[in-house]
Amino acid sequence: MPIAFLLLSVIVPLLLACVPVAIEFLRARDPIAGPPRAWAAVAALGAAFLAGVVPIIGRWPEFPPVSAEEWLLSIALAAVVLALLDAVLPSRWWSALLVSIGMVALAYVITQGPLASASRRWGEGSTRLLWFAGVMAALVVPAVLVRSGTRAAPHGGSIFALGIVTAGTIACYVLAGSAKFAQLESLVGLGLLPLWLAAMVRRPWTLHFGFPVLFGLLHGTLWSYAAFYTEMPLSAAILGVLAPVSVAAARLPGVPKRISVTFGLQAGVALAMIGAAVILVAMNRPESADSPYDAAY
Amino acid sequence: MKCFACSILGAASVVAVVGIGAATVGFAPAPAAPAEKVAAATAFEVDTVHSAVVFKIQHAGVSNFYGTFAKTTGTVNWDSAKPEASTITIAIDAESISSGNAKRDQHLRNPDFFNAKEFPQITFKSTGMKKTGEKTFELAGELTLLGKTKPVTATLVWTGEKDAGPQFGYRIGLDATFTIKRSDFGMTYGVAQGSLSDEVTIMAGLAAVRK
Repeated sequence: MPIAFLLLSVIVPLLLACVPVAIEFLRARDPIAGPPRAWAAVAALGAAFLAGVVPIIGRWPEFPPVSAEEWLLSIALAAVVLALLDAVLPSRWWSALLVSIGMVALAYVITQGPLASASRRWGEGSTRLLWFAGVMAALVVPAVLVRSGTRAAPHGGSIFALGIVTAGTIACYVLAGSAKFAQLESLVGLGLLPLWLAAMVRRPWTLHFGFPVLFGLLHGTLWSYAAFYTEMPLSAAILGVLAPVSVAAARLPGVPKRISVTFGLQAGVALAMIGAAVILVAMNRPESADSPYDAAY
Repeated sequence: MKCFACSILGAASVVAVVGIGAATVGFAPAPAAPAEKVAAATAFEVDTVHSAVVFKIQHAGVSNFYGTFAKTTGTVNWDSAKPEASTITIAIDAESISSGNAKRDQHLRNPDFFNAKEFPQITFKSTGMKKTGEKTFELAGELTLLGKTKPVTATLVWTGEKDAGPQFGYRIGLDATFTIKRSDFGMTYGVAQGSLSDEVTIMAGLAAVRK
């Protein structure tokens, strides 16, 4: 991997993600200041993704975008704005409504634009309607349940579970033959890394406003792309896109609120869901050629 | 990520070639006809089974790798009296790429390369042709790959034309060759790493049958 690519797609996004986390981490040292505010998690994830998406795609998107991947920068930008609104607006119920509507609208743009017209998987008529509903659900449901889970478990355990999901997603994309999608998902992981470290130390860390919306949109969008544009088994795509709901395991009835318990439960459910997706993708791979050079085809 | 691949590319598209033909008279050895009786242009349809599109890309900075597209369709309107007025339209099925390795083919169909589900076709549409020799032409056209359209110039060689009997029909053959920079179309995988060259040469051997 060339140094310039490594710098632009890994180092810079990681450093940018560290900045807002460090600001809130330091501010929250003062007990009077209260817990870290919600904007930091949004900014960390958003900065990492926005900084790395253009180097990974390899070019500035045309305007209007001519492909789904060129739409990604616009979608991510809109998602960051929506998430920041959710993080900073005082009227939570109102902002949540706004975000939900925004997510649905984004889903429409994402899917009806490049996806619906291009993918053979999308189909026609009622099949298309089902897909449309499914993609919207894929974007909204994980966000809502991650919000619920991070409210119950405002610590590094929730981020760790999402990290497991992200790592497994990267594995799925690589196995499905898309290095580019794997690199894009790795930007999500880079955004989570400083957040996880900080949230393990400084608890509680406010995660349930804004952050779930952004994570849900980025993760869901990439999975919807993978479902339409790679040879990803549909069963794996459904598991992968829903795997973030593992964070909500912290809210299961009867689960003790101790961090050790919720941490383990969230991680276990995440591993089970995304692990199953990885296995399904691996089983769908073409057979290897009988050659020692096949691994590096 | 591995490097895969090799291949690529193609983009292929190649273009096309052309086909040609023409009509009766032609370029080929055929009895001269009175000018006023020569058809303006004759329509040919590309024979998918007997046409081939091959791409060449450098792998690891050392060797050349070749891959193919199995399915090519298109039409050629060939004006034998005035070849410069001929037109060629070719469409290549991106899903039909073959590099001789199943995993690599899967990768080539994915968004890292041809993104075949989003952009199922690679197309070439001629915009002009200039005669450069007895059987050679400079063919200008627009190649659309990954949703982007760029001008390309191919070397076109007329390879034959005749009535090949009831089984094969009246047909013409053309070879076209051109080189593109795949990064111009947004296909950058492996370029920065040096595992795959940016430049790809596309070679098309087209057979076209008179409609």
